[in-house]
Amino acid sequence: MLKFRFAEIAQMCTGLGILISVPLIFFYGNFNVWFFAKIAYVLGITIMLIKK
Amino acid sequence: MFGMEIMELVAFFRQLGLALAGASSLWGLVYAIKSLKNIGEKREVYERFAKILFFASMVASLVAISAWFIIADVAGAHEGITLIPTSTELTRARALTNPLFVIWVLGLFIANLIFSKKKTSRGLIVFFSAQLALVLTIISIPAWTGMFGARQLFFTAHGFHSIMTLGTVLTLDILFYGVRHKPSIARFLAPIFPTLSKVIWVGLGIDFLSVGLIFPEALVLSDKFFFSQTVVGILILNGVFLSGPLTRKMIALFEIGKNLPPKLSTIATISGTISIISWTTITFVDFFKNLTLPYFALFGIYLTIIATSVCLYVLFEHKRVQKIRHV
Repeated sequence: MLKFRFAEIAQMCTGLGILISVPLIFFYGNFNVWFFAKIAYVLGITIMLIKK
Repeated sequence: MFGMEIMELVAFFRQLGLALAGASSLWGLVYAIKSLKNIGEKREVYERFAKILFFASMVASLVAISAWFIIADVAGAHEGITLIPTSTELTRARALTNPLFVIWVLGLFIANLIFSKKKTSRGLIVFFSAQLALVLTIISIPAWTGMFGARQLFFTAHGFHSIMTLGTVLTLDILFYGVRHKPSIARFLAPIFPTLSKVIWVGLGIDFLSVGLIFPEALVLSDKFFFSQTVVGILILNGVFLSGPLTRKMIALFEIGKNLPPKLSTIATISGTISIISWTTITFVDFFKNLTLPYFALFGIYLTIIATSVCLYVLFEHKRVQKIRHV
């Protein structure tokens, strides 16, 4: 059984966010999810570095 | 063909060579220092890793320098966001980096003369430090605007993050491939996996941050952009799996001196293949300004390369196991 840590689940959410944003940008020109996912990723990495 | 030009391919190889030369110097330096700080078996193994990375950096340097001889114009932007440097910016960058390339060639010549007799950890530390400084400077100036503004920061971030991402992924694969069936040595490599993963994640973060510096005209909603974003998404999901539970499992097995079970070894190979091909792909597609291939064609080629690489690995692994059984 694979066990993911909280930070890893959060990171997966940003990956999924970027994947979901592809059809959103293509069909609706909506960049919100894309920007949010990228900002969330950078924030997550910053927290990871500070915590360690 | 498909809007691809041969010089763009050469420019891609220059970036690939620089990224690997930089990363192998960085991690080679880490292992050379670690070998000096340890004694006994640890010292020997770390020195061995540093020597493997010395050869990797030699091959990478050869690729980068050969490409530099052919062409020096780099239109480097990653993950599909394109900000193409002007010819003046490229000429300025070429004027700045040409002397560094000459120093690099001479340095490599001297290093090979010295190291042909014996490679000591102290000597490797000097070599890796000097090479890392040179490569870092060269890769950070793919174009020079003449001043440190947002545009220059964009070029610099898109240049040097390749050392932390593509280069580090390649370095990790070279080391892991060399020791994956030797648990006695792999147990010394495994503890650095989490650090390597962090460096890769931070590198991708730097790339994302530089997106904030882009200009509206840089965001071209092309098939290349959508394809690159898809690959970035896959890369993050796969990376979490590879650097998280899979790495923890491998470390636990290596620490008790066990080999990877065949199933886990295959999963690690598939995940590693996805990682290395994804990083190479997003770097590769961005070196072709006028790529005309549609989204699904790009994605089809990407999946085919992954499937072919995994099949080849399984085939070679099967032959290796059969050979061992016969012996």
